Amino acid sequence: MLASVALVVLIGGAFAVLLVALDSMRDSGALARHSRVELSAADRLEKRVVDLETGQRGFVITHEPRFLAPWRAARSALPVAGRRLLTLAGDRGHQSQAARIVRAVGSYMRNYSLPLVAAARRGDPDVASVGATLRGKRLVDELRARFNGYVATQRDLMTARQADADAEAHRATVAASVGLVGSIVLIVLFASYLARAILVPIRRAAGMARQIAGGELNVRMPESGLGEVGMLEGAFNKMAASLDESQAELRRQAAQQAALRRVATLVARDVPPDELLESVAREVAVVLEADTTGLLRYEPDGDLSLLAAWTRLDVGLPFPDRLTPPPGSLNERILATGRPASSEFDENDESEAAALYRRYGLRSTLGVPIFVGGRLWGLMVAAWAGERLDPEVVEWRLSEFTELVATAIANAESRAELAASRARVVAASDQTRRRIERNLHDGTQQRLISVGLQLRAAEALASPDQRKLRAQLSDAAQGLTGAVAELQEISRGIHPAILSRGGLREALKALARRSSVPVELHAAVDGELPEPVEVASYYLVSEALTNAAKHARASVLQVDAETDDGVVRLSVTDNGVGGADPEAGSGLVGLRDRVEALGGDLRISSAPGHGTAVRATIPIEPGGPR
Amino acid sequence: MIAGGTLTRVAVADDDVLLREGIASLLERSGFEVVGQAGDGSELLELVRSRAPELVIVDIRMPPNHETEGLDAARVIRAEMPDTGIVVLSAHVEVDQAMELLAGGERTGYLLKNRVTDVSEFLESLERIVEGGSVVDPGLVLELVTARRRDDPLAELTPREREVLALMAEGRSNAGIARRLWVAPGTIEKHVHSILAKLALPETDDDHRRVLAVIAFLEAR
Repeated sequence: MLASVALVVLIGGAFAVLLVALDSMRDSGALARHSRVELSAADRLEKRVVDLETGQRGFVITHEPRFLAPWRAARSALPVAGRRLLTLAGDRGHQSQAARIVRAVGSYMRNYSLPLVAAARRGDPDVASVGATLRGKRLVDELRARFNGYVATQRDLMTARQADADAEAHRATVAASVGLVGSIVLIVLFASYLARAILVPIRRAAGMARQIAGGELNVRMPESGLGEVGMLEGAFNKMAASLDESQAELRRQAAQQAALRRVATLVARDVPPDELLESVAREVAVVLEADTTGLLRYEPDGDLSLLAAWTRLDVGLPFPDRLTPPPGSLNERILATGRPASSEFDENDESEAAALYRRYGLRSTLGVPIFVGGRLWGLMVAAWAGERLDPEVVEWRLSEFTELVATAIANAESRAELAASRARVVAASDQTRRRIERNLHDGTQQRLISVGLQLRAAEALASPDQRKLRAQLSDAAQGLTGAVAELQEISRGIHPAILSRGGLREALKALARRSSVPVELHAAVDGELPEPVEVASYYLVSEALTNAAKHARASVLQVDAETDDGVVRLSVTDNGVGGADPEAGSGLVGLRDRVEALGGDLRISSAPGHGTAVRATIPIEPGGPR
Repeated sequence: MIAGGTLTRVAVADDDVLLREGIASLLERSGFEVVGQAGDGSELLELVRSRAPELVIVDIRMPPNHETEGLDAARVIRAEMPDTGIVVLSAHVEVDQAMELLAGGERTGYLLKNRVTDVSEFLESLERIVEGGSVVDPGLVLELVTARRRDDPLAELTPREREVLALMAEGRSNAGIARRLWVAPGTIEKHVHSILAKLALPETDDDHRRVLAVIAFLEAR
């Protein structure tokens, strides 16, 4: 800025000097032209005087009037030429000299020339005398001397003026040269200054822009430039920092999205809630850069129980398995507002919660409520030992996870409810079947047998003569025996009474014995199993054996049953034709419900030519491993 | 039924009064002395302890739980009065229950309840028990014998031998089998010898032991 002002002043000064010099040169030129005009005016006047003198002399000598023509012309032109000279000299210092010349010429005209011509006309002989001629010559010489003096003065003046003009021109040349050289020097200086103050920083900024474009967002430039360049550097750094921050934010977002996707995948895969919650605790801790996280559930008594947690602290978790929320904890505020809450614990915080967190070196915490089906189900808590992100950002991010958790829990709860309801349906149906079986065996069958006994008694009472009656009674009793056998068959299908006493092993043996296709049974079932598990296992094997006998065209069936690690594993395989449609009309569909109601699963494979395999796993305890 | 000049003293236990009365009247009619009736296991035990019947006919399922109260009572009677014959009536066939009962010793019978209407067979069974034999319900034996096995050892047997095997399993003596099949006892002895050899079962004169061995073999094959 300063430099450019200096440059303008310098160049302006040089040009001012140049202008002044040029102006005075123009003045000198004008004066010189004027002097030349003045000289020519004096010259013309002198020429008129010469014309007068020549004309009058010729006339005096010859008396020829034709000589008087130039005399007359000169005489009439004289006043004009005199006035012109006076006018031209009027504004100059030598006016008096010019006036004297004009007066002398006038006097020469009046006192000499006019009388001489008049005398010559009269024929006066004196006019041609030597005296008169000499006087005329002397007068003309005087006039000429005056003219010469005037011209000499004029010439001196012109010379002086020319010298002045030359000096001015020289001065102008010098001033222009100085201005030019100064300008060049200044321009060079200014250019180098510009290069240093603007070009270099701009080039640096361009390089940095290239680096930024290449992804190096951590580059910064020194903000040492002056004025706009400094502002530019500052703006550039600010832009880079903001880009850097945006990219970091993007990375965080991407990490969060990836974490959410992983959790959502787990939700979709219906992994057990424990596994899901552990994963959420870990993912949240990583995404939020938290030092510890916990997922807690409200118990009916208002306590919180810890379902999953993650920590990077060496000292372990600040959460016990079950806790009564201490006064001052987030829980109070979350309960009161149903909204996320956060706390910072400083040294002066005397609350129990603060003391607990401080023991683990944690400085701040934030909790988000988890609502399942509109009911406050629990909380997700994160805590930091160091700097924490903006609470609003954390809340927002955390709530995305808690929504997934809520969905998963709602799913798990509905699934559990569904399973429980299925189990109840199955149990109710089992009880009904059992009651019917009991009624058939202990009621209907007993009744039939009693009637049979009465018939036998009647038969015994009939006299030996009444053969026909006896035979009829006997037939009736036989018929009843057949009915009872059928009833036993039916009731066995309704409920396997054998299970109540012999357990699954004996029941499977009975199934194997009754199968029309040889069965190789391997039953390693230890201990007593819950009745629903036994009943389901029995029906599964029974149905699979019946299907195999009907459709498989197998020569042998293999039944394996074993208890292993809290589950019963069952498999019924055959060496038959395979190709069975597991879902089409087979009683196995109902069995799937039964097995799944117990939290188990059923798989049927039946590739054509490879036999059929029915495999089931049923947890021994409800909610046990699958 | 008259044994040694006195009527065989019988106790009947069933929670179904009608059936119980029916059986009792059948027995009375057929020459047994019914010393008492019981509606559940503890009543039966009281009765057996006070009246010491020679034979007890007991329903397997009785109050209070309708599970295996009859079998439990039989076990107690077997322990307290080993000479008492016990016939357990079941509403359906359960091999392990029969095995358990037979394992308790001789003079035992396991019969399906509806056998009582086949009066002569039933009485004959009771007679065999009183005489010291064991009885296994033909229906149960049939189930065991007809069960299909791969590499079945019974495939070695002739049809006649199978018939004989089944009757052995029912607890019949050689003489009983011979009567049943209308053949000479000697022929049956030969069949029995052949069967035991083919199945690698030990020879025994004790009918009860033979029943146990055959049933165990059939069940385990």
